[in-house]
Amino acid sequence: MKNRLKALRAARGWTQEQLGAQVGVSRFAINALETERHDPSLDLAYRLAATFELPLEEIFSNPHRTAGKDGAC
Amino acid sequence: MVLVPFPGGWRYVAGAVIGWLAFLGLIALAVFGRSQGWPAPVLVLIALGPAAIAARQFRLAWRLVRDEDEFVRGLLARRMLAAASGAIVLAIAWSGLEMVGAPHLPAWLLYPLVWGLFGMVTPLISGTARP
Repeated sequence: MKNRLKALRAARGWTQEQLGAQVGVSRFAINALETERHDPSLDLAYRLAATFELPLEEIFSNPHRTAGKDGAC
Repeated sequence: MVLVPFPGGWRYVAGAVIGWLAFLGLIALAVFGRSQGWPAPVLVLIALGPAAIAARQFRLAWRLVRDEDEFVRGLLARRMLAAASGAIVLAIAWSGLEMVGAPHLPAWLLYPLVWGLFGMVTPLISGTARP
């Protein structure tokens, strides 16, 4: 799933490990999310949204929306 | 490739190595004991040992899957399912071939086959996202 996690994390100066610790997953999970090798559960997606204080679709592209109406990805 | 790509994985790998050594040791001991004419009850106990070790190893794998985060859990489950599926298919295929003349192979080879296949699928299954 396309997302802005890497850019958002870098903008805050966090490592993958630091972000993982904040949302309760390993750095491997954060890496997999950033490289689109893992689609997050709804719970993890909400935890990430809460951590970045952003709406979900500001972080993750919604693949079910029609083109042009998508989030920021 | 990272050898132990998950937290706590080193404990699992260390346990697996010890289990493997014990598994192979008991197989060798059973063969040796039989050749030496050891008492049947002793041989039976030794012969059942590899199954107990395999059960322990799968229990460790279950606990690892249970305790890791959602990504590692999904990744390990996919790899294990692929390995187990491949091993079962190969075992059935070989069993069929034995019926038409292929040499008999001991069933305990299924265990190293599962983990061998697990190692082979590991670089092929690196994510849990839908393609």
